[in-house]
Amino acid sequence: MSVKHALLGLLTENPKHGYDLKRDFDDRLGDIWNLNYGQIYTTLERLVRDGLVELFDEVSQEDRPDKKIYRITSSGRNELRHWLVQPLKHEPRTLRDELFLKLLFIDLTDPELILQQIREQHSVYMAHMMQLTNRKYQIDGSARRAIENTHDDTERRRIERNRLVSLVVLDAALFHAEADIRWLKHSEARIKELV
Amino acid sequence: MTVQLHNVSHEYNYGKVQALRGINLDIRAGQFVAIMGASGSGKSTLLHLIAGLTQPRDGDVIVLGHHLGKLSDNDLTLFRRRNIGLIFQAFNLLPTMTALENVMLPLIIDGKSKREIRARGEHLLRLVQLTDRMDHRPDELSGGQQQRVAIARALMNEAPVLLADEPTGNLDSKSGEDILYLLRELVERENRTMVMVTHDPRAAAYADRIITLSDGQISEELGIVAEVMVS
Ligand SMILES: Nc1ncnc2c1ncn2[C@@H]1O[C@H](COP(=O)(O)OP(=O)(O)OP(=O)(O)O)[C@@H](O)[C@H]1O
Ligand SMILES: [Mg+2]
Repeated sequence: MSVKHALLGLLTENPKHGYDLKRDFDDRLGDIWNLNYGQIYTTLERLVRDGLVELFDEVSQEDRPDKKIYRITSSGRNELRHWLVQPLKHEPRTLRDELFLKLLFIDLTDPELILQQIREQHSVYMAHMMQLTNRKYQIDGSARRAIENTHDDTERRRIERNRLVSLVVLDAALFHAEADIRWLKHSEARIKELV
Repeated sequence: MTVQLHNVSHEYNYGKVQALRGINLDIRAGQFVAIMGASGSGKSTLLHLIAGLTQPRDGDVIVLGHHLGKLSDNDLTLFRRRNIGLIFQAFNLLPTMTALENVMLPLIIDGKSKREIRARGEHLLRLVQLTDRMDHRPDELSGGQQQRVAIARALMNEAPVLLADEPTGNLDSKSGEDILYLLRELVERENRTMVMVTHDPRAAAYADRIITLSDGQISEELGIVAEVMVS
């Protein structure tokens, strides 16, 4: 996935330093995507090297290196626009699960022990879904209230858009967890049939 | 405690089918509990016991302080009408009445002001997004629309305890989610108690407790704090 384009997109809003980028990224995608400072700084260096981003300002700080503030260049904007309309890769995600490997060697142990692991995995996913749904419910609720209390159209649209992004992201995580849960249940039944 | 089950067992067909075995369960006011489990594991039976529609072969069911086993049939009916909102697996709508009349029915029997009842019924049908279907009879509604009428009807008496059997089973995932949001909001805002049977993991995830039944017993319980308890 493209950290590069994520940073370019966030920089279209206004010039930012690494900390701002991390915070803005986490606000919107933090639920499903853990981006660390290291990735942000190496990506920024590469973007500067390629002329897509430039140094905008440096703010001196006590006892620390200067805070570097970056802004997007016009070729950065072109690159972002180009990427936005690029078709998505037409191929399914690769699927890989440790369970496949364990099944390969199921004869070496008591199948009941594998079933036990499947059930535990199932519980972990289900608990995860509860947490995601709770987040979704909270975000949805506070967005609804904020929209009710706002009379400024631009502000309302901004809230609507952020709500949409958060919900779509959380939905993605939820639907994937659900698929895993269904697959685990199904596999459990299959393995039971076998033993 | 709003709902308490002490050592509850139930069987059908003179002991040939053990539907529930030794269930112990405490549900506090304001909790949203989901019941999951394979087909035939006893979910609907459990709901019927809490509603007092069925008396257990063994054990006690106490709802809002009432020992359901000790109530007369009359008192039980009265208790249900005041305290329980029921959404059944089959919607049980009256075929000759319109959606709005079906929703109004639980209160009409009580003999309250018809104008107020109508206003509340219309409000609830709007909440479940059936504003333009109020005058349709059940056979003129889709399955999902009938389900939403049944949900509105269950909310009519403002019961403190809501019992729902697959309330979103016939809905597409976005409509189902709107209903679940509505139900959870009701539970939280008005401190009601909700027990919902479902096969759907995404619906169950709206609850703050998930209880799984296997062969009539509680085999697992999950809570929102994400602690995992496998028995
Ligand atoms: N009225 C009845 N007479 C006889 N047996 C019954 C009756 N109702 C339910 N059962 C049996 O009791 C067991 C539990 O049934 P119940 O309806 O509670 O299951 P459930 O978990 O709700 O299943 P589903 O997911 O299919 O709705 C099943 O084996 C069922 O066949
Ligand atoms: Mg059932």
